[in-house]
Formats: sequence, structure tokens, C-alpha cells
Amino acid sequence: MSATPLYQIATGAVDYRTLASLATKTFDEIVAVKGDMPREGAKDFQQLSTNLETYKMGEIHKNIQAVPKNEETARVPLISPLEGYNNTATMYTRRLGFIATRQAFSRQKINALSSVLNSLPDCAMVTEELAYADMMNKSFATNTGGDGSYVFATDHYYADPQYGQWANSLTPGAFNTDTFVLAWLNGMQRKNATYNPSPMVPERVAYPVAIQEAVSKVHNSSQYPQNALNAKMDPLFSAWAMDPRKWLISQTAWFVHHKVNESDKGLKMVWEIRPRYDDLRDTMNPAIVMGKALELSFGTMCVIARDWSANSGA
Amino acid sequence: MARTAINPVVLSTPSPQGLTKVRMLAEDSKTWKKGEFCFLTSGTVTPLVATGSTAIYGIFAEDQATSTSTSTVEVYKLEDGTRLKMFVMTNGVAATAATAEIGVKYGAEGLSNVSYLDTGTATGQFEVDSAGSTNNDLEDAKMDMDAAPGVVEVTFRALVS
Repeated sequence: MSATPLYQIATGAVDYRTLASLATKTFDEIVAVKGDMPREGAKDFQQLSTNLETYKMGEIHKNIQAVPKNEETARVPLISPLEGYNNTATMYTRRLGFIATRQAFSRQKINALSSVLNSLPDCAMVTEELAYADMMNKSFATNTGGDGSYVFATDHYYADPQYGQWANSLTPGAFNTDTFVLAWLNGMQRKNATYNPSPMVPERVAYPVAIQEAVSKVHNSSQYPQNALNAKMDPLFSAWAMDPRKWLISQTAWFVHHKVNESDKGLKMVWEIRPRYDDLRDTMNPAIVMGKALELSFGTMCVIARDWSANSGA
Repeated sequence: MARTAINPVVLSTPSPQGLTKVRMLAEDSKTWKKGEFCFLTSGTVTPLVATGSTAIYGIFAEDQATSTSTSTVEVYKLEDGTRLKMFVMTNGVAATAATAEIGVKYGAEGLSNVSYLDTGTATGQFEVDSAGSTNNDLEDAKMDMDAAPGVVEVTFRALVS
């Protein structure tokens, strides 16, 4: 046996033919499938607001250097603060709506239309989650940060370039104790703009559910997995939260997020219009008895994702 | 691990208010980054892009990203007695701090929007005072200031001799 595909109609206004099954006498019951929609990406981003088309955000840094030797008879050596990188988010207005006719409601044998007619809040949620996931999905290639390199890369420059480069992308490898330690080290050995220690501690690991078992082995084991010596695991392997992701496309990439202040998050979500709903009516057609329009406008960007240690996986 | 060369850092100036900033006509069809050295040519300022310059005038205060004509630019004028921290090259090749002999005056050179002390130019405006690590011993501990390109502290002398 093989399944047969369905055919759908989408002709603009929803009338009694759109969901014809609701208007037939052959069904005893019709259920609206609900299902759950995971919300997961917002915590990766600093949430910001604007009323303008673009939102440009930059960084500045203290210049923190060791104080040089300098006799009182000499002029005092001077120091200046440092410019950082910046990036710009562009707001895109997004809109979607539906309208329904009077007969779409009046001809129902089973009153279920209203439970599926207004999908706009879910559309808004999907849009938001896809925007969050899109940043992560394209973070090793395509999406760039304020310094021009990819969001997760090995060639970020310190704001004071005399100190060279730093990485928030690790050598690709499957999640295990060895690769996690490298990610932990990447955060713990993080330097500030002037190459002084600025350690970051893992807060959670975001990973695709496809590698749930591998992550769980590291996070939940008291002894090293597959280690015949029964060596005890260091607390660093469990001092973070598991953050399984469903919107990520990669089945292997994993991302360690370090504890930072909200304003220090490198990923930014800038809202111009948070999801807004208005009535849609047609003044020349009274049969359109219900309609809603959704409008939202936002942009995402990465300034510098120094609060992450990412691995594209293997 | 050696440092990556950056543009000269002014440590102190003879005037208590710092270097004087002036707006000047820039040479056409040139680009530069803030912090680079500039010198005068036909009454305009132009970036230092080669080895062996002994006629440095000042430091660009702002970027010029695209080539333009008859533009003006803000420049910090270097004054005799200004002390700077500079990275060292010898004829275009990164050199150690020890390459710059204390008390000797050298020229300057520019490479990829960074201005260096050029120890390949024996007579210039920048008199070497000390290796950067001498006074900045703890900064040196953070990341090597002596390995090529090394860091030295110099005094700008307006007159070449």
C-alpha cells in the first residue's frame, strides 16, 4: 500500500469549500490538530527595540594595560580607550492575513473552523524562531559579525589588534568529553580587548536533538563514559544546562553559551514592530465576516559573538 | 608570542594639551586609516606607504576609505619631543626591538595601513629611547614586545640630522 497525497485549495478568502469536510454530513467528528511549537531561540539574543529602518550598534572598550615604569621627572605616558566593532540590523516588514466568508461559518456541520482559521500567532512564532535559528544555521558560513568574519570563526581580531586573533569556533568534532573540554577552555581562556583574562563559564549547551545521547553522556555521567579506569568526571561537565534544539538544521553542530550580562550577548534581535494583529474587512463585500492581519518588523545581527564557543560537529 | 604591529601610540607630548589637530588638504586619490603617519607633498598630506621616509608630518585623525579629490582631513601634527611607542621594521621586514639601537635616529615606513620605525633608514626623525619592554615589563609578560615586530619607545625629532 502507499499513501495518497492530499490536494488543497488556497484561493484567498476562506469559504465553505476551503474546509469542505466541515460542511459535509458524513463525519461524526473532526478534530483540529494542535501540536506543540517549541520556543527556544530568544534566550540566545539580546532583545532590543527601535522605531527606525536600521539599527546600528557598536562597541567601545577600556584600554586596560599594565602600568609602565615612569619616573616622576618624566611626562606621564598616556592611554586612550579603544573603538570596537559595529554592525547594523535592517528591519524588514512582514505581513500575513486571512479573511473568511459568512458561509464558511454558517454551513459547518461541525463547528471547528474557528479553531484552525487564525494561525497568525503561530506564524509569528515560527517567523521569530526561524530568524533565531537562521543566525545559528548560517553562523559558520554566510552570516558575519561586526568584524567581517563569520559569526563563529577562528580569525576574530581583538579590538586592539596588536594582540592578534581569537576564536569562538573550535576544531570540528562530535560532542564528547574531549571536545567539550576544548569548548570550556575556549571560554575560560577568553581575553578582553587588551588581552587580559576575561573568562567565561558555560551556561548551557545548545545542540540538535540528534546528538541528545552524546550530550547526555557527558552531562549526566559521574564517571568518564567508555573509560575502563572509572575516572571521575570533573564538575565542569555538568555545571551547565542541556538545551536541546529543534529548529537547527545541522544535525551535528553544537554551541556552548557562556554566562554574560544581557547587554554583552553578541547576537541581537531588534524589534521595530512586535507581532501586531488588526481586523481585515472589505467594505464592498459584507459576506467577509472575519479577517485578521498580522504585521511584524524586526532584524537580527551579530556584533561580536564572544559569549559563544561553537563547534560545527562531525 | 610576538605582537601584531599597530600604528604608533603617542605616549606623551611636549605640550600639556596633546598634539595639535589641524584640518589640511589631502592629496588626491589616496586612502588611509586613522593612526597612520602622513607626510607633506606639494602642500597636501599623503599617507606613508613606502620605506625610508624622513619627513613625517603627523598622524591621520580619521579614515579616508575611498579615493577622492580636493578633500580635507584632520591631522595631529607631530611636535619635536613627542614620545611614541612604535613597531620596528627593517626595509619592509619585521624586525626585533633589539634591531633599533638606542640613541640612533631612524626613518619610518608604511605597510598595509600601519606605520613602523624603519631601522633600514639610518638618518631619520625617530630617536630610539628604549626597547618597549624596558619600561613596560609587565605588558611584555602579557605578550612579547621584543620579538619581531618588536616595540620600541622613541622621541620624535623635527629636524633630521
